Amino acid sequence: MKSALIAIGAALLASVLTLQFAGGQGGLDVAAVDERVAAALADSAIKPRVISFTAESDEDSWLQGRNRDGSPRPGPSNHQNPLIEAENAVCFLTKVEFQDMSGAEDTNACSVSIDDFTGWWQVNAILGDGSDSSLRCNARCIVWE
Amino acid sequence: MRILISLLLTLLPCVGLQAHHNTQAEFGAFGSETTYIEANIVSISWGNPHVMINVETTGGEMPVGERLRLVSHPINFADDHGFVAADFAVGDDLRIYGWTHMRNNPLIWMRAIQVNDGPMRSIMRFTDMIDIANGVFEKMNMEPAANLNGSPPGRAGPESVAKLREMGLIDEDGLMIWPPQ
Repeated sequence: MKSALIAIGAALLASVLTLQFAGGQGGLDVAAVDERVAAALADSAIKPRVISFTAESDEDSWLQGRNRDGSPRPGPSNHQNPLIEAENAVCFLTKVEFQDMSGAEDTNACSVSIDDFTGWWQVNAILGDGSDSSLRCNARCIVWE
Repeated sequence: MRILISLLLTLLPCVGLQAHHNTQAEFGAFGSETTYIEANIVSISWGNPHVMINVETTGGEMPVGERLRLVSHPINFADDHGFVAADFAVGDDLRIYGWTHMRNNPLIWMRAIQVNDGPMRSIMRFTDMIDIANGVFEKMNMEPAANLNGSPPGRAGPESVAKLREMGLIDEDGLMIWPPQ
């Protein structure tokens, strides 16, 4: 169990560092990234002692493209639900539920992202422009301390 | 038949709740205590389902330099309360009464806002009703929500509605009267 947790921790750290170093670049020089990640891991002061998992947020990030009376309330609409500070966590989607998809305009999306302003992970429910369908999104996070 | 009607009446409020994000589950009851914050606007996202203003705190009851997101109603509800995007600009100084998030997310649900040297204006009509019913609203030096007069008071809670009725602030159609006549 312990070795599995350490392996998960190392994989997470590598993933995060990869994202950190490679994010936003059009072309990816894999060898260079590998080299930098390996160097960063060797120098890293992060020695995770405890890895834990958050529960899903109590309330989904959700949007409905219709009002109570059935009349359309179409997108665009973007509901953002903060999850946890991004400094020592990585989050992933655990719920993606779309309903009432009936046309090409029903373009919905669930995603997780780091909010640049607050520095928190957030789960986003995005109702596309003109979409009158509905969606629910949620996420969990792995936290290292 | 009676059982069926009872069941429907029990379920109806749940149908209503499904239509909006459960603000009170996230930030506490409409009548709960607010926090006072002074802040500077960093960016504005006037969109649905919630208008949002990113701010950096400059004073009040929170440490200086905190980065927070002020959230409120959808665009049309904010408009009904008397607020439009043009009321705000990056760099404006704000004074805010609001509710902190119950799980310490960096969010504040706005109760009332003052932009620069303007008036403190309510953006929560049901809290106005609760404060009026409790006899504290007029001491708060706050302009009521633009849609307070003529609003159905149900979401202020039965206790507040009863008090408002006693105060003569509910008309024969069951709607809020403000200012008092």
